[in-house]
Amino acid sequence: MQKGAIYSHEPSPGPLWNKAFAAALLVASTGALAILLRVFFGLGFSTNLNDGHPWGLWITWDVLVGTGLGCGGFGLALLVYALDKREFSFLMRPAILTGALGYSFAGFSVILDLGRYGNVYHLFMPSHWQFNSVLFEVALCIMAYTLILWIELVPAMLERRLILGYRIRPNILVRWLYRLLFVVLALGMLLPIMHQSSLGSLLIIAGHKVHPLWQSILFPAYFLISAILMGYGAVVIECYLASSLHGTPFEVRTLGRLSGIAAWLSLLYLFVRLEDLTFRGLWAEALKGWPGMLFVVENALYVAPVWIVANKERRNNAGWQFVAAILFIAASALYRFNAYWFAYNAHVPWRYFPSFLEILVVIGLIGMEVVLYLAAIHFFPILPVSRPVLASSEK
Amino acid sequence: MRMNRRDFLQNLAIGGGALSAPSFANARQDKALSSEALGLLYDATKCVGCQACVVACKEVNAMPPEFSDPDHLWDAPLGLSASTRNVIALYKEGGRQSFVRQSCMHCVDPACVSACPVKALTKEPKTGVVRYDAETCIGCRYCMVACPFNVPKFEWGSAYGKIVKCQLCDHLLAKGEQPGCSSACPTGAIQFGGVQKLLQEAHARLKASPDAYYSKVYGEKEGGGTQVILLSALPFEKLGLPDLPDVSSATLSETIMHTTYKGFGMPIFLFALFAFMARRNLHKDKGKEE
Ligand code: SF4
Ligand code: SF4
Ligand code: SF4
Repeated sequence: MQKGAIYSHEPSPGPLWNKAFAAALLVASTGALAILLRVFFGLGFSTNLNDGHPWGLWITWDVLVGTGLGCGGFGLALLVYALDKREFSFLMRPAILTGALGYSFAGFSVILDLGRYGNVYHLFMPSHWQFNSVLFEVALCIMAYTLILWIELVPAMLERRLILGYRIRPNILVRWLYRLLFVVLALGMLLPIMHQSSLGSLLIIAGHKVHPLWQSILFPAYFLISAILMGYGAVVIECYLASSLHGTPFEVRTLGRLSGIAAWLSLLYLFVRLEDLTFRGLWAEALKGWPGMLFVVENALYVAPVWIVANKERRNNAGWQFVAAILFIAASALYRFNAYWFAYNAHVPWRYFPSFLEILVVIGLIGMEVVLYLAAIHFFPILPVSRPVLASSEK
Repeated sequence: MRMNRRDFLQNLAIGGGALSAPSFANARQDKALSSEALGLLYDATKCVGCQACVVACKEVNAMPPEFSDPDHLWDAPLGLSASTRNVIALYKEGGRQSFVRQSCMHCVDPACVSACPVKALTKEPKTGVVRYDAETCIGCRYCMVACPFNVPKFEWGSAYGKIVKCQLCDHLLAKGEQPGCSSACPTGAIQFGGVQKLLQEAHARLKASPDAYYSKVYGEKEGGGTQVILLSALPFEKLGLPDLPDVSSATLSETIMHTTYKGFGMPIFLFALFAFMARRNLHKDKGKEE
């Protein structure tokens, strides 16, 4: 425990039913209607996907950004359990919840995106396993990690002994869970390293269709770092939410240190990315046309939060931290959008811009996530609360 | 200096936990052409653009027509699609022009097969025909992303669509017949046969009339080689064929996959490391509580 404050997790105060919840519910139900249209009328009807752009907004937003934002729990676990930086442990729970929701909805979105979703069980049949396929590895690994995230949430749920009037007692199963928690935690660190980097490897086979500024054998490294950065950004933003809901002080010092770590990672990322460019002699390319412009914007977005965090005063200022968090997320999201969409060109006369229904589904899924998130923090002790303790008080 | 930089980058990638740098010891071999491989030779200098092959392809595969003219009279597809498995396009440049044929190239080392997560796309080991099975396919469309020639097309119009592409008319081959396109061609611009033979034939034509041809057999090496090969008077890049390296993109992709996951060594090592550290750190917690 740190001096001066004691941390606990508490359910959010106030009634669940408020304006924000109602609005999210409304958005979620509109999204549900859009999803029905997709199921009954097919991909051609509901999306603008085409033979030149087989993957679109659902993959880039729901899978690449959604799971990236859900990587806070993974990134923190590396700090807390691998590097023994205990000061960050109180941030874990909300991050795991975001991860569980983000990953689950990414999975749901992929099912919607599958043209022949009825065959999806083939992924579980050893006779169909295709070990050369990066997508096969990504699919199984993401499913496994989603399960791990929900298991990691069990302790939080059990803290509340009464769920919907049922009394939950730590039985033998739960005791085993606690005993094997280290296995769960280790998987929770390994699996994201595997699939987040593989989300990058997925594009290697697309070869010349991905613009040379992005196509690189270092795709896995870039995707892994961008995932951790998005995760840390999401953690900072969630802390804001927690302290404003509970009316408790914002943990500027701890989050300042987290932002510092994110800035170092960004620097590493920038260094490798620019070195990669130098090595392949692509600097001339970097300043040409709209891909060049995207490239410059993307990397400027990585530089900006580093500049913010480099200064100690700004680093320990809640407002600046918030801006830096948004920038870390924006930079990584733009990188992923660029690689998968804006810089993907099959050299066929097909252009892609998402349809109204595609956007509606994305917004609807966000609504559903918000509904479930608000309900979860209302019923379970998820959000961290820090209360100052008197110097003399014993535990 | 350059070499150092490269080594440095690779080490960095490993150090960064990305485990991505291919170590060349594990590099996956390029796939070789089977001696019994079947394919097509398309000679653009013989093609008159009559589209008989396009019509025949639709007939033998029971595909619907596609109209691009305002009166909907001619079945004239503009490109490959879910209802068109081959297409003859016209390229004009100054006073010169050439037709070019698009269809599945039946790659020697197909990226689509490497990409498919459920083995819905397979390469027949003997004939080398790249087949698609809709009963297996989950519709992820990764094959479309992977194929360097943008061949697999999806049935966007259907509520439960499938992938469509040329399968070298293997239903006809099974009956001992020729593919629809090659048997329909009135000028012999599309020739069906063993790929080794077709390659010899192509080189013989290049040798016999070097002035009539651009001096390359497209598909002999492109993307690791293809079983559908082309000859033309104009440079192939002008005809819309991609300028590919001599290895398939599947080679690099699989090398990275297999280097990372070979024997699951790397994941197991990391798992053990994380488990050890998590356990130790969890125990510390317990000690504190007591
Ligand atoms: S041309 Fe495309 S679809 Fe055909 S075998 Fe090659 S990679 Fe597969
Ligand atoms: S769309 Fe079908 S054939 Fe293509 S990669 Fe996916 S599962 Fe395989
Ligand atoms: S081989 Fe058959 S399916 Fe392929 S282009 Fe020719 S006619 Fe069409």
